[in-house]
Amino acid sequence: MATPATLCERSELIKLGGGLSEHEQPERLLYAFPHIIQWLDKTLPSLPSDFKHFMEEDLSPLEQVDVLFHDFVSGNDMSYYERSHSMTPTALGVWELKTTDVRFFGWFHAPRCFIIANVDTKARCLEFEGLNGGYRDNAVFRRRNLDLNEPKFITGGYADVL
Amino acid sequence: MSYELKVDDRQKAGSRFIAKVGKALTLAALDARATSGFTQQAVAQKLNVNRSVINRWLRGGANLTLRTVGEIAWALGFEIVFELRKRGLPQGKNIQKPALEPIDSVQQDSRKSMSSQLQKTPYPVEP
Repeated sequence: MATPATLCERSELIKLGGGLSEHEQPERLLYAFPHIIQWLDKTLPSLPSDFKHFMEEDLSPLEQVDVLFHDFVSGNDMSYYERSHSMTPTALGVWELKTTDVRFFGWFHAPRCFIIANVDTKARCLEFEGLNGGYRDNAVFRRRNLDLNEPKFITGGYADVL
Repeated sequence: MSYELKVDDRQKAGSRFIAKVGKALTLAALDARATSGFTQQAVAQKLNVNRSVINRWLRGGANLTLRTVGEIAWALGFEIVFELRKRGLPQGKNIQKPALEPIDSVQQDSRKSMSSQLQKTPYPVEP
């Protein structure tokens, strides 16, 4: 059994920096599985927005994700994500984090410590029925097989996890 | 060692500001709905635009003109407070605090460190 930091040393998890500026300190921890990093590196930068009213100067999917990661890691107020249902708890302790075009699935290992297990576009999640549920179940599968300290996840609402 | 997205500082500054304004407008719209029963349709009628336009404006990632931001705020019954401050200066803290001992040294020898901190306090101490 290991902490997220130890799992990072073993390259089983990768820590996400959140794009903090030099005067900011991390207030929350964000980790992801290695396949998420590949997606962020290879797919996200060229991903077009699927929003039907998208205009050229609007936030690209890459910029949307940058904003989400920065808000989380920097400790910014997350009430927007709660009130606009951009961060929603699902069954089995899995949470879904949303931007206009991207969906992340993962769990809170501890308060203020989130682990991303799956990612896809909103368009694909809508197009393929059951994909959301599949990602949720797959996150549970990955959590079960990860050599993470018990308890591996916490449950509860926004006040409990943020 | 941590992973960072490939977004440069200039791009971050622009996109995070757009997102900040969008989030503020969305929260204002949610407040207006909760307190006054305002709907997107009502805002659309007030601004004489289609409801789908309001939907785009309030989803958080739209690059709105300053005029549009002002008009949405007006339609929702809000006014805008705009402020620029030097990068790296925490909000409401424009006076530099006196330097403190690192937290580790306080933990290692709390009595000694507490004593040293008190001596550094720039305020008069009652006898």
